[in-house]
Amino acid sequence: MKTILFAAIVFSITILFIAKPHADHGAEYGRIYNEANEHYSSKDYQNALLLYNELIERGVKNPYLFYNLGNTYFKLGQIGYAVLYYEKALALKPFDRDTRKNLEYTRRSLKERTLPLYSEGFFKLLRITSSYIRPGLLAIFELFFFTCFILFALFFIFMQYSRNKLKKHLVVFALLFLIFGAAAFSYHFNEKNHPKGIVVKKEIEVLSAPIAESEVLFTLYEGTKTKSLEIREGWIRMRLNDGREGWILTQGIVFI
Amino acid sequence: MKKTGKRFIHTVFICIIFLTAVYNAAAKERILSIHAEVNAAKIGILDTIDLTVAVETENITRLPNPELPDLKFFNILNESTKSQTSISMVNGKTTRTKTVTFTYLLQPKNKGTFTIDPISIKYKGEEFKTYTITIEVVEGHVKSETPGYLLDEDTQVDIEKLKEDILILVKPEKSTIFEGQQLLLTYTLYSRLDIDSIALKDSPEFPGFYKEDIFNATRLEYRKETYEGRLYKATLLKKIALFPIKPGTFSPKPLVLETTIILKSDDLFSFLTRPYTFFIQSNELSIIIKSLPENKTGVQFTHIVGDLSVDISKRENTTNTGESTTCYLTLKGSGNLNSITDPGIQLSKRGRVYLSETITDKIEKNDKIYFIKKFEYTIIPEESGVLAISAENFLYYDVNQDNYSTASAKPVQIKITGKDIYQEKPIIGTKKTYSEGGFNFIKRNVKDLKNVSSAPFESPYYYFYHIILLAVTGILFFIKIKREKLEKNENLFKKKKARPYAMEILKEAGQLITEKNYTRSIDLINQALSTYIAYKCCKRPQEITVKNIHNILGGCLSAPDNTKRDIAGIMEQCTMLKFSRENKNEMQGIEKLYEKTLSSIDEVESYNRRARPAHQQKPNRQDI
Repeated sequence: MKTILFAAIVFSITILFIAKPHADHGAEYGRIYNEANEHYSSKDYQNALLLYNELIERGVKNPYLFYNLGNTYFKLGQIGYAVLYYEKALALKPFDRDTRKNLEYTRRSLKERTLPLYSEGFFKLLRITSSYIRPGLLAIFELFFFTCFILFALFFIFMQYSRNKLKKHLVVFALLFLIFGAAAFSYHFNEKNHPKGIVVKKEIEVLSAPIAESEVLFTLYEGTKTKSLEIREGWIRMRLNDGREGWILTQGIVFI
Repeated sequence: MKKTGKRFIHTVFICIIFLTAVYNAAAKERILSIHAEVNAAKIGILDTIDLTVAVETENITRLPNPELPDLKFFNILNESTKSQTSISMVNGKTTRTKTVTFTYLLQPKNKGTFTIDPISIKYKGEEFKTYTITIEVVEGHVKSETPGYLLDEDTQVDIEKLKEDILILVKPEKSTIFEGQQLLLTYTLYSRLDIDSIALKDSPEFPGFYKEDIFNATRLEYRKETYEGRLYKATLLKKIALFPIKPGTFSPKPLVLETTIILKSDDLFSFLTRPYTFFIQSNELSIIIKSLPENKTGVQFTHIVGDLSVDISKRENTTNTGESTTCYLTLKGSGNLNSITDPGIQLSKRGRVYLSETITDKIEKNDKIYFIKKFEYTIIPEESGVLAISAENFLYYDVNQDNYSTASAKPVQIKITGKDIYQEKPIIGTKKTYSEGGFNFIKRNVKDLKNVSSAPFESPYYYFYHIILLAVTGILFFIKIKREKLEKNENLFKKKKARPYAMEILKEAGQLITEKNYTRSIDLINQALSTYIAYKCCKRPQEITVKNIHNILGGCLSAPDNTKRDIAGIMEQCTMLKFSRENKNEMQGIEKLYEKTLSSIDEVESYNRRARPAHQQKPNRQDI
């Protein structure tokens, strides 16, 4: 018993030590961000871009930063990068209406918009709903159901009455916790293995094979969202949401 | 017997080897012979000489070409091949002899005495060689000029004369053109001879040009044509449209044909003809390509030079939103349309456009080739109303006007009916109007800019939370189990020790009865019975009251019903006696109650002992 408690304490301290950031640069990042915002407000988009990109290079992942960077790229006429950073912002903050609004506006100016294979009725609702559901949200549900499961497990252990009712609740919460946990993890790892990317070049030819001499299937335009299926020596096999597939050079797209 | 057999086999084996060797030697001797000769041992530097290599074979259908030595002192002006086959029958055996004569027309480069090294031919890994030939080259002419190119069978053919009667003429449309402008080349064969066959030896090459084949002759179709005052049979061989990529002077590599003609003797009484094979090539050509003037229009140049027209057409006049319709963008011009891959079309309303097909064609008009490129676009309208389809303006260089011009298409309109279909509609809230103003605001200033994780899986706190909660639950569960186990053991112990405890208390009660301390003795009797029942039922003695005694006895104590009734009665009596202390009659009943309690406990014990399986029974020990 004592050994278990000791192990738990040591583990907790270790985790806390690992989790603690070694240095807190939040204030410095905030200063650069505010300076970039001032440049943006005075329509000096080039300098704003430089400062925002400095933060990106320093590894800052913040939805506000991505949103402002998307705006800056849009102002500079780089639609592909604008779409990329709005998508990045939405990945961190899926319910941000400003980002959604600007992304929709930017997509209107794309040369070609791809339509999903099933774009009507239930599938449309499913697609729009799924655009709000991120692995983070699933993980929050998973944490909630896990906590409920643990609480009901404790009640079940220590309470002498209504144990049958408790048992039912316990099973439901355990199932929900497992379902949401599995969904969150599979979503997360699917996104890691098949990352989505945005075409940042004006035009890029999609080939039938990862060879420069192979047949050109179709052309992709700046701002188009793709899903990578396979990466092989400078080539990506990608799929569009309308089901079209082909090989493109890795230089043509940037992953979200 | 054995020895004789072996000798016989040896003899047969040696005979076979000998016969094979003899046959091979004979075959080798007759398989191929090569002989080379020149038509003069002494020539002038202005003369030409024929080097004839004759290869004679028997029963060989395909022969390799002879390998000439390095003829560094001579130029090879022409070469021709002649083949002759004869069949002879000797002693009933048919022999097919083929003689192939290769004739090379050589022109000396310098004066002096030169040797032509042996000419060799390889066949089936063996090499056959001729002798060395020595030629003396002197100043001027030595050989006499032969009038006409055909005298009799022994007379040589004058190639130069021959080439006046057969020639390939390439006619460019213009000699000076602009970079990117179409140049049409026509290759025509003019002949006054009987052509047996022609074969393409060398195709013309056009480095620095984009080439489009217009016509390639597959058979000879003659028409009569006069060239330089002489009547010829003319055949169109090839027609090519060229588009120069860069400025400069252009001289293409000529077209070379291997031609076999039928030579006839001038002798009217002679009916003998013979084929003669030689090479003819097209005339030399020089084209000047000028660079285009600078594009000052500010519009992107399509690199089309010549003329250009653009047209948009539609398949349907009306369609629904979400349904596909087709429209065509057609480019027609004399320039190189290959420089345009997907010009794209513009829609006045929301919709998606896909290039579904590109069709190319060409037509010949007024000695000019016009190229047609038709782009088929599939349109899926997303917004209702009148959809205007237009195309960008195409800037090309107009050769006739010597200036940059713009070709534009008249837009076409399609009526779109049905409900608007939009993508990415927000799920929350109503449809919003999007305006440029959306980009005028930014996410405002912050004090600290913190990293936000997209998934909690990347944070150790996520795992820490799960582990801690599971660990706490596990520990509590473990404690609970341990406690339950202890309680169970305690209850077992109590069950076992219920009678001794009760007896100890009753012993004290018995002493108090003898001392006539009835009040305390009643309490002790009650306490003894409660303790006994509580221990037997795994409960605390305080939980045993008169109110719930019936339930407890009925629920957990295994005893006969009358004993249970007695116990309940004792408990009730004890309670009653508590409230009637010092009453003499009641006091007398206490002793009886004491005895009854003892007997009830013993009855329960004996009942349990009876009910227990035989192997669990222990001998009864009298504690009191």
